[in-house]
Amino acid sequence: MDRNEFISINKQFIYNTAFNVCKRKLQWENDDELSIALIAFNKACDIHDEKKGNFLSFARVLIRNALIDYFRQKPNEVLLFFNGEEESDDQIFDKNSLSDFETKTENKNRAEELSELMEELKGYNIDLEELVNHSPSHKDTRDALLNIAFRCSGEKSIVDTIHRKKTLPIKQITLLTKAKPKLLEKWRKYILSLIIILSGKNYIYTKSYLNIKAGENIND
Amino acid sequence: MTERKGIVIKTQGEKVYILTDEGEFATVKASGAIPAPGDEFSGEYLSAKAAPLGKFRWIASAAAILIVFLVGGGAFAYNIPFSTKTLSTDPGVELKTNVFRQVISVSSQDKEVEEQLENLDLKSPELEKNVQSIIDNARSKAADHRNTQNERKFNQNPDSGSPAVEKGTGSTLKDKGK
Repeated sequence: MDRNEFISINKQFIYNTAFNVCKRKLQWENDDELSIALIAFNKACDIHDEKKGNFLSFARVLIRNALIDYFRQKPNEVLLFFNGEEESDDQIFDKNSLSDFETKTENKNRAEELSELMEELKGYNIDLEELVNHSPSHKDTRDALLNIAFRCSGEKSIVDTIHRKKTLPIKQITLLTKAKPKLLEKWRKYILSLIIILSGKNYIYTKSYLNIKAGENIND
Repeated sequence: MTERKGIVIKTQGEKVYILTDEGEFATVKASGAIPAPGDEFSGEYLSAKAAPLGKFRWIASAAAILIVFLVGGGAFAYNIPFSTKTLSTDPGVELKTNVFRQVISVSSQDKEVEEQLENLDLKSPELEKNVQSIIDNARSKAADHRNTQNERKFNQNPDSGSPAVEKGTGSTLKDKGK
């Protein structure tokens, strides 16, 4: 089976994955999101190997991350939120279709990634216990902080400052997002962690696991 | 019981640290087999603030409620009249005491006397001392009253003693004139 035929067979899967992130009807002819998803699927075909687990799970990770990166390039226009809805039927079906080996491989990849993330956070004086204590339990707060972190992760100067000084540049973020310094100070550790996850190239499974959806336009 | 589901970051005994798909870092309780890092796991949510107390949080809650009842009950008992004592004087004085025999209110039919009694310190834990303090105060007022009356009588009859000016009652006379 050649590549074009394989992509054509999986067009519905690509559409469903993009739809789960965008939460609106998409058209193959008009929407950039589907083009991004197609490119990501093609990339998954190029780089997938057995170590990365089930192909469709891996392709979903790449499509979701590609769309998140796409939204990050135009952060003024998209409002994101954590989706609290139950998993869709497609997702449940995909999970059930995974073999034990594939599930174990995927879990192993996630475990390695999370371990690396925790090690990196130690460099910022953040340990897991603190992160749990400084993690907002209210969904509205988490959504607000997600959008702040998302905008920051797309701003190279802020990401560079964070990596260099190992601290959150409150003033820069206030200017960029108009967020209150008190809010940034209160959730400093959580925002830092989110920025590191969203901007890091090594955390594709973690980023993909976060059920991030695109909402209405901020400018509307 | 609130549940949380997420990927396991770390386990510590029965405590499992997870990252939920809604972006929350949380701890949940592993009731059965302990999951491995990277697994998706669902368990009873352990509140971040309640965690340090652990199993003792119920005891702490019960102790807090007990303290509230004891303090509230004490305040209630202090302010509720338990007995009434009456001093057979003219005018009469009524003292209300609580269960600890402490004076919580004092009243009299004569408003002037009542005002004077309110200014007295009657917070002594011994009731007898408080009664003694009222009696002493009444005696002193009565003595003052007698002195004032004698002075007035003397000033109305200037021939019977020293000159009126020397008695310092110039103003008294004026007041009287008015």
